[in-house]
Parts: sequence; structure tokens; C-alpha cells
Amino acid sequence: MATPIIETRNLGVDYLLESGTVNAVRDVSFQINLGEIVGLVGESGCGKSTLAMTFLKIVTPPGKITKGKIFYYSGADGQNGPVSVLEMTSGKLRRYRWKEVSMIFQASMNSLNPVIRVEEQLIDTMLDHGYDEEEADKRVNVYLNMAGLDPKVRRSFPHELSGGMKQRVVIAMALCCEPKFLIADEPTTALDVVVQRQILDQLKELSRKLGLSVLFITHDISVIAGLADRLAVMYAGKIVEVGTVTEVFKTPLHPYTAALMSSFPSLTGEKKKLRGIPGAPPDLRKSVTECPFAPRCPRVFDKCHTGEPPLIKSADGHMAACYLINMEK
Amino acid sequence: MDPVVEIENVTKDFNSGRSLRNRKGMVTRALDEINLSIGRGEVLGLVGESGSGKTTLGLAILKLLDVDRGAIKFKGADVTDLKRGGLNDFRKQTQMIFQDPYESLNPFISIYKSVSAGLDVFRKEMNSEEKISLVSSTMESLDLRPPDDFLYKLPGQLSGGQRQRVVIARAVMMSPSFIVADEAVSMLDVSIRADILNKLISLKEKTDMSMLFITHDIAVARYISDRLAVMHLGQIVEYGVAEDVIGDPLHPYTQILINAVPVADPESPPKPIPFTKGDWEKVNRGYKGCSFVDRCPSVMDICRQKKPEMREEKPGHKVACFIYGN
Ligand SMILES: Nc1ncnc2c1ncn2[C@@H]1O[C@H](COP(=O)(O)OP(=O)(O)OP(=O)(O)O)[C@@H](O)[C@H]1O
Ligand SMILES: Nc1ncnc2c1ncn2[C@@H]1O[C@H](COP(=O)(O)OP(=O)(O)OP(=O)(O)O)[C@@H](O)[C@H]1O
Ligand SMILES: [Mg+2]
Ligand SMILES: [Mg+2]
Repeated sequence: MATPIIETRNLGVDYLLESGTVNAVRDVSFQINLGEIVGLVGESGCGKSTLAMTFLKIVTPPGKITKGKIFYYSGADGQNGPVSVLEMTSGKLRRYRWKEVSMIFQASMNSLNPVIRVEEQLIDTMLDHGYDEEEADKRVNVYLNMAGLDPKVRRSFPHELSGGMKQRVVIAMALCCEPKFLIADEPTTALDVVVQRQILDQLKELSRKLGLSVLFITHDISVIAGLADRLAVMYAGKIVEVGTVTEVFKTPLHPYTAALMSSFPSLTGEKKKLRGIPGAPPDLRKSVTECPFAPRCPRVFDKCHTGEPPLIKSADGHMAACYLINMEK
Repeated sequence: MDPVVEIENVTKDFNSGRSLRNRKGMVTRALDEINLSIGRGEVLGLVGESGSGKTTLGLAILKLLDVDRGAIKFKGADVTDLKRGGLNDFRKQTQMIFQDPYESLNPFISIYKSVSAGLDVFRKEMNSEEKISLVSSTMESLDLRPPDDFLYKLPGQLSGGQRQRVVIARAVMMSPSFIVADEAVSMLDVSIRADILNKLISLKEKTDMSMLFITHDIAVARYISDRLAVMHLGQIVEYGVAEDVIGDPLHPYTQILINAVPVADPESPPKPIPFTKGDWEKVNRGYKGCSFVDRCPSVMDICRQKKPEMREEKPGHKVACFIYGN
């Protein structure tokens, strides 16, 4: 059995707005194992970033974690047993964030302080987490290089860098305290494919050599194909399909996953007109009485309107929330 | 095709890393003798290495940044010496979709205020109902439905992809004749991205709008672009009909770029790329030879001695590389 590094149980997150309560994450139970890279994909606004932020307990008002638990397994191979993240004291959380679990926020290139040199921002982060000055100074070059940046960049101010260069500084920052679990929210969207590849290779190596676990959020499914061990697909605040990358790519079970797989443009062959998935994602303020994908699903049938399908295990062992699974064809 | 934008020998240097001790800092040649043109109703795709100068070029064309040398013409007139009236008219006709949707929306004002700000300046004749209805219908056409759910929120209350669409809405709503779209769809999932690319294409077909489309996603570039330019360290190294450049890349850098595109198949492992990181010291700009020498798998002596000129290797397909024409 694989050892978990982090686990959520029946997690729910709401945004309390004047116009109503948005159920952004609905009842998510999910586990990431030690040394594993998990991809997370799903339509814009389906709750990926919100889910990621709960792992660090940084959901702020109007957001609220309404139910569920998160367990973090500390120690070399999780032997210190589960610690409940939502119940950590603020002192514990400080150490937990960055040193145990770090996050590359979506479009975080502008989270850098524009008037502080790159090196100072990296060094400060390391000093905050127990490295001494000399060590921190040395590590700056190591981590900039790891993120594919010329060490000369350390003297620059963020506004002097291109979008992708800033993004790589943020990647260096997330790695420099040697976290055990990295959450990467669209970390390579601003990068050209060559640099992207260098960074993906680096993450794979860290994962293989040092047992780094990664949750990799992206809209680019092709990136996941060459990177991740498992893939989870989110729709309307829920995980609707999860399995090994090969299983999900070979036999996508949920019609939403299948549609995702066929709507990206290709580099070769005839230029075909792309089609998005018709219809819009459901309003997350309304209570759910049927499969949330039913109104857009090409394979919808009676049962889909009776209630929301749970995750069902298919023959090859991977799971999806769809009534079509294991039905007679 | 009559060109809407003409870029002639444009060069731009930045000084960075300056401090009290090191007043000169380092000089980065962000644009190095760029020549390009964009026709009416044409989409020019721009791909290339991170930090190669793509955003700088986009900003320069829109006169959001001054260049050191060279000329940029919009509909025949040089934009560098545009004065008030002319500049106002230029601003009305051009729009930029910024690379970072988080930075380009003021976090303290509502989406509606951000999006309609351009109308307040350039469409003074519109009354507030007309403005609301134009904003709403544009948002709706970009799948921000129902628009009322978004208009009165602050940017921080939207997801990444929703913000990106707000920024697109703000630009297309002004019916510009030229747009610079800088990584405009990078944060959208494939399904919504497909719809938005189709919207941009039909907008261009209907209104003859021209566009500089900056992206790192070469498959997206292929889908939307008529012609494609490849940038490396401040220079254009290859330029031609998009289909030709992608189907038959000539420059070694373009070949590597296309090879590095991830394939959506877990069973075909990513192809190795011939260079990894490192070599940064040697990659200096404004070098007398070709900027790609230190990483080029087919480097020759001549590449270190002088810069390769752009030459038309095939009809409509140009490349700057000594492999060709010798
Ligand atoms: N601070 C907030 N206040 C109110 N609503 C929010 C807030 N943050 C997110 N939301 C809403 O919650 C839902 C989920 O947002 P989230 O950012 O988690 O989506 P996502 O899956 O990361 O999308 P994307 O791929 O576009 O980044 C969206 O409908 C969004 O509008
Ligand atoms: N204001 C500035 N001051 C100093 N240097 C700058 C400034 N803006 C850009 N540069 C430098 O100019 C070069 C080109 O930057 P630019 O933002 O145009 O790259 P890009 O091709 O858009 O990259 P990316 O794909 O990463 O966004 C980079 O080396 C960058 O560091
Ligand atoms: Mg997000
Ligand atoms: Mg840029």
C-alpha cells in the first residue's frame, strides 16, 4: 500500500457572498501519496485553486471551510502519523507552510515584491525557516539554476524580469526550503515549452530522488501525460474521475473527461475546427439534485436526473462519478 | 495585403540590476533589429523563449514603451511621433490583453468599473444603460454567464480563468482594429479556450481586426495564426506562414521548440531536448555572432563570426541561419 502524505476527508469550502453561498468545493475525499505526482485538471472556476488552498489552510473570508478534515503525515515516511491540519496552532502552521508544504500560486509572478531584489526575497524566506545567512546565500544560485534561471538574475528587481522569468523565481522560492509536498497551481503556463520541460524534468527528479510529492494543477492535459503518476479531474466542486494517468488517458470514463481530451488543438495533421463543450458549468449556489454534468452531457439518460452519482470503481480500478460505469453496454 | 503594422529595425535596450555601487548594472538587448509586418485582418503568432522580448515587442508596437532605434508604423503613420489628437485616435483603435490578468485588473474596483473604463474615455456619447448592456453582452459572449454574477465582484473573487476572460472582454469591447494578445488564453481550460479562440477568429473575420498573438503554446499558435514569427534572445529567427513554420521548421531553435511540445500520450515518453539549463553565462545578447551558437546542435565556425541575416529560404518562409544558402 502506498503511504499518504496528505489526505482530505469530505472537505467542503463555501464562499459566502451577498448573492448567495457558492459551494466551491463539495465533499472532496482525496489522497496524495509520498513521492507521487498527481495532476489536477478541470474547467475554469470548478474549484481547483480553492481546494489547493485548503491544504495550506489559507482560505480567507468570504471563503470558509465548512466541513471535513485534512490530515498531513509528517516524518520521513509518514511514520509520525496523521496530524490534523485544520486544528494546527498558528505556530505549527508557520512551520508547516513552506517547510513541509509549499505552494506556487496561480499567476503568482506578481506576488513578488517589486521593490526588493530577487536574492533578498529568496534569502528572507530561507532565514525565516531556519537556514543561516551564509547557507541561504549559497542556496540562491542553486535554486535559481534549478528553475532554469541565470544566477545573475538574483540582483534584479522583479519588474525587470519577463513574465516567465518572474514565474521561475516563484518556483525557486517554493522549492528553496525543501518542502516535502509541493502544490503547483498552473506553474508553467507562462513558460515556453523548452523551459517548461526543464522544470518538469526537475520536479520529476526531485520526486524520484527526494520523494517530493506534488499536486500539479494545470489546464494542459498533455503536460500531465508526461509528468504525473495519477490524474484527478474536477467538475463543479467535486472530483469526478481519478486514476493512474494511463488509465484515465486510455479509457476516460466520465463523459466530461472524454470531452476535455478531445478539445485541444494539435500540432500535426489537418487543422480541425475546435469545439468547446457546449453549455455552461452549473451555478454553484444552487443545491445539486442531479448529476451536475447532465445538462451538457452527450450520453445523459434517465438515471442522471435522479441524484448526483458517487465515485464508482470501474473494471480497471480507476474511479469516476458517472452512472454509465459498469452498466451493460 | 496592406499592412496595418510595420516594424522596421526596432531595437530596445534595458538597464537592470542597477545599484549605488554598480551604477551601470547590466544591459539587456530586449529587441535587436526587429523587422515585421502585420496585415489587415491578419493574425501574426509570436512564439519564443521566455525572456526573448515578446512582451516588449507588443508594448513597443502599442507605444506603451519607447524604443531606442527604428520605426513602428500604424496604418502608414509613424507612432513614435504621435501627438495628442493622433495618439488619442491610436489608443482608441488599439488594445492590449496583458500577460498577467492579476496585475492588469485593479483589485479594489469592481469588474464593471474596470471593463467600462475605456468606454468612459472613448465613447462619451453612450449613456449608462447602453454601457451596461454592451459590457454584459461582451461578457456573455466570453462565457461569463450570467454577467450580473461577475459585474459587481472584485477581481479577487474570480478564478484565474474568469479573470483572464474579463481582460479579453475589456479589450474586444472597444472594437479595436489591432490587438496585442499576450498569453491571453494561457489560463483557460481547453474547452473554454476552444470557444474563445473561435470567437477571436470570427471577430477577426467579421471586422478585419489584426492581431499579434503571443503564446507559448505552439498548437494554439497554429490554430489561430495566419503567419508565425519565432523569437530568440531579442531577434526574430524564423518567420512565415504558420503552417509552413510548424510543419517544416528551418531554424534549429524552432526545431527544438517544436520537439519539446508535450504530447498527450502517457505511453510516448517526452523526447529529450539537446540542451538543458546552464550555459547561461555564454548566452549574451548583442553578440557579434548568432545568438544561438552555444546551444545549437549544428553550430559552425561562421556562426561565431557574424550574425546571420534573414533570408527567404522558401517562398514566404524566412530564416536567419547559416545552414541555409551557403
Ligand atoms: N475570494 C473569492 N470570493 C468569492 N468567490 C470566489 C473567490 N475565489 C473563488 N471564488 C469562486 O469560487 C469558484 C471556484 O474558484 P477557483 O479559483 O477555485 O477555480 P479554479 O478551478 O481554480 O479555476 P481556474 O482554472 O479558472 O483558475 C469560482 O466560481 C470563483 O468565482
Ligand atoms: N522594465 C525592464 N527593465 C529591465 N529589463 C527588462 C524590463 N522589461 C523587460 N526586461 C528584460 O527584457 C527581456 C525581454 O523581456 P520580455 O518581457 O519582453 O520577455 P518575453 O518574451 O515576454 O518573456 P515571457 O515569455 O517570459 O513573458 C528580459 O530579459 C527582461 O529581463
Ligand atoms: Mg485557479
Ligand atoms: Mg512576456
